[in-house]
Amino acid sequence: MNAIWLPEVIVLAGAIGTLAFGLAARRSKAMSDLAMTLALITVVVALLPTVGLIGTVEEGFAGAFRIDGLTLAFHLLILIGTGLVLLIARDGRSDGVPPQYLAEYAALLLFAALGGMLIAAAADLLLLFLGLELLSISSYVLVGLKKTHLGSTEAAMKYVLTGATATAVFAFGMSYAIGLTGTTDVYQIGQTMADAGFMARYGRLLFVAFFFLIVGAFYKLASVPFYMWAPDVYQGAPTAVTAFLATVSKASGMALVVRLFLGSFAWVAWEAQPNVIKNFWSESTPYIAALSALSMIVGNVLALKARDVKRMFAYSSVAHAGYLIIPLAAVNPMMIDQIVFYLLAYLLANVGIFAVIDQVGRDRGSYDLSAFSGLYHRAPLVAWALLLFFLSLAGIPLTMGFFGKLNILLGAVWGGHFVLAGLLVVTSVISYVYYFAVLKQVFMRPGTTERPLAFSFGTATVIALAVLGTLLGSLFPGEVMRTMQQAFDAVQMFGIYQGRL
Amino acid sequence: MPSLYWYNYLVVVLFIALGIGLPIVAFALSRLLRPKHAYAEKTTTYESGAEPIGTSWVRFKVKYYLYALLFLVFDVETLFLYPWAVAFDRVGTFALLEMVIFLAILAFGLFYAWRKDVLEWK
Repeated sequence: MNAIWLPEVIVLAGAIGTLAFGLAARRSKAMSDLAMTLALITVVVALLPTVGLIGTVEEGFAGAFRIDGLTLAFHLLILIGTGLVLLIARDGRSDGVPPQYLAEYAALLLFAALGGMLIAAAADLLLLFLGLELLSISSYVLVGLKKTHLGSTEAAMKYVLTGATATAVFAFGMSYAIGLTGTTDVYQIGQTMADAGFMARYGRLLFVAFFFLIVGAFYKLASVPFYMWAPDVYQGAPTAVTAFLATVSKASGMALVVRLFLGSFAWVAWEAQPNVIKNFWSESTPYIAALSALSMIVGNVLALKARDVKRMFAYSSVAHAGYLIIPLAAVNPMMIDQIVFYLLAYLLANVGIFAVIDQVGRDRGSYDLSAFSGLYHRAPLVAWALLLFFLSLAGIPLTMGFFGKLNILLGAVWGGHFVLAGLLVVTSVISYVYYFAVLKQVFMRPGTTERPLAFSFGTATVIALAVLGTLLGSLFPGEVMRTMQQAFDAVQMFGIYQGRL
Repeated sequence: MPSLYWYNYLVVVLFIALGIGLPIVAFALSRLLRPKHAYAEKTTTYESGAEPIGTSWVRFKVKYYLYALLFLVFDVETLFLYPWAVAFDRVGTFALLEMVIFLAILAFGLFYAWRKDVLEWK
């Protein structure tokens, strides 16, 4: 019996500890600055048992809590993402967040990460829902932390209202799935559905349940048509929180949809008419493929018009949601590997870019494209790092993002989705336009000032780590992928069923 | 015995009829019995409360929500304590430990609210 719950417990204890620390230190400003550091230490400490658990497949709490390769891979993604975001937040604290809320800022980031980790570890609909709510409610507060900033308040309001609707839809779908199958266990639902005659009787209702359920997850992913909140929320939130939403929140949504889709629904087969066998994934594929295609097109096209960089990244995040959904439509044995590898590449590049956006935005007081002009002359090293991140996000060959996209492309072809594969290539080319618009400002436009831009320690660390990770993934993609497959042997498709079938 | 089955519905119908009928009868009776002296004060919203000034479409302090949130702490606590207490004989010391952790987290929530001056009416 391993302590499979240790990472979660550490994050929870760290979050409560950070809050308590904030209480104790609320009279002294120097002390409350330490809250962020405390949260950062928590994340690092939580990483240790997570790494230690690698290779375990174990369940606890009557099968509701499950540690397997999928869980651990997403735990690592979430913890690394949260750690990097905390580093940005620590330096960007002058970014409009009132100083008396610093401890809550740090604690809420930890609580949100805990929600994401619960989602990744849950094999029970109720625990999934609990994790989703913990993540969502913490994010709402985080978005509105700049209390005196009108845009932040507006963003929080919009996020709460649309998010609550998405949650309600998710809960409604849950009620159908639980009501029809009589169980809350994700895998048990799949087994009940596979009973002879079950799908023939309740098949349609279960499709309704499935689509209501993925609304909740796709909302977190910000895919079309649930992306409307993204631009305003990304723009209004403190930059570190925007980075969190774009990376950790998206990874959690992906964990949710993967566990639900593959755990419960995908493999159910039934006899629709005599001698006609249908299965769930091939029936649901056209709808998921359509959402993916629309996300890629809408995200990339709308991003062309954006002048505000944070808004542009909201649309870019919609587009990347589209890429990430492709493996779900094109079901293939390597799909989880593709998703996790791509998420890692996306996370590293995005966090690095947001670190730069944060620093530049605070220096210039604006997130407009022109704020980046002449950055090359002000901070040449950072400009080169930015170039690497953008190339990786755009998927220029021989970068980590390229190998991520290549994997997804091969998976799509393997699954017979040539249209999606084509769209992936075409929309990636479209995305060059707006990614290079930023790079053009950085390298080719003279800025209003040549004053060197100093990067604070935390931001510089984030950029350095992101560069390191992206370079590693770019130079040794095969090794990274193989390490991933060996470490999380269950990341390979069928590992997530180990011990359950 | 199908007739017995339908008797159950008869009870439901009876209750619906009573539910609709009682207020009608009550209001009708009070209308017949009460004295009628209509003057301006009688038509205000709160006859014996504070005088309403202006319209109700104004911004006002939403301090109450904090109390609603704090109430939730106790509400959830009861919700989980009760079944735990009923099944205490069977669930054993592990559940006791779990409940202590659970209560400690909730108590911290209350403590936090208290230290943050939420309980002060400002």
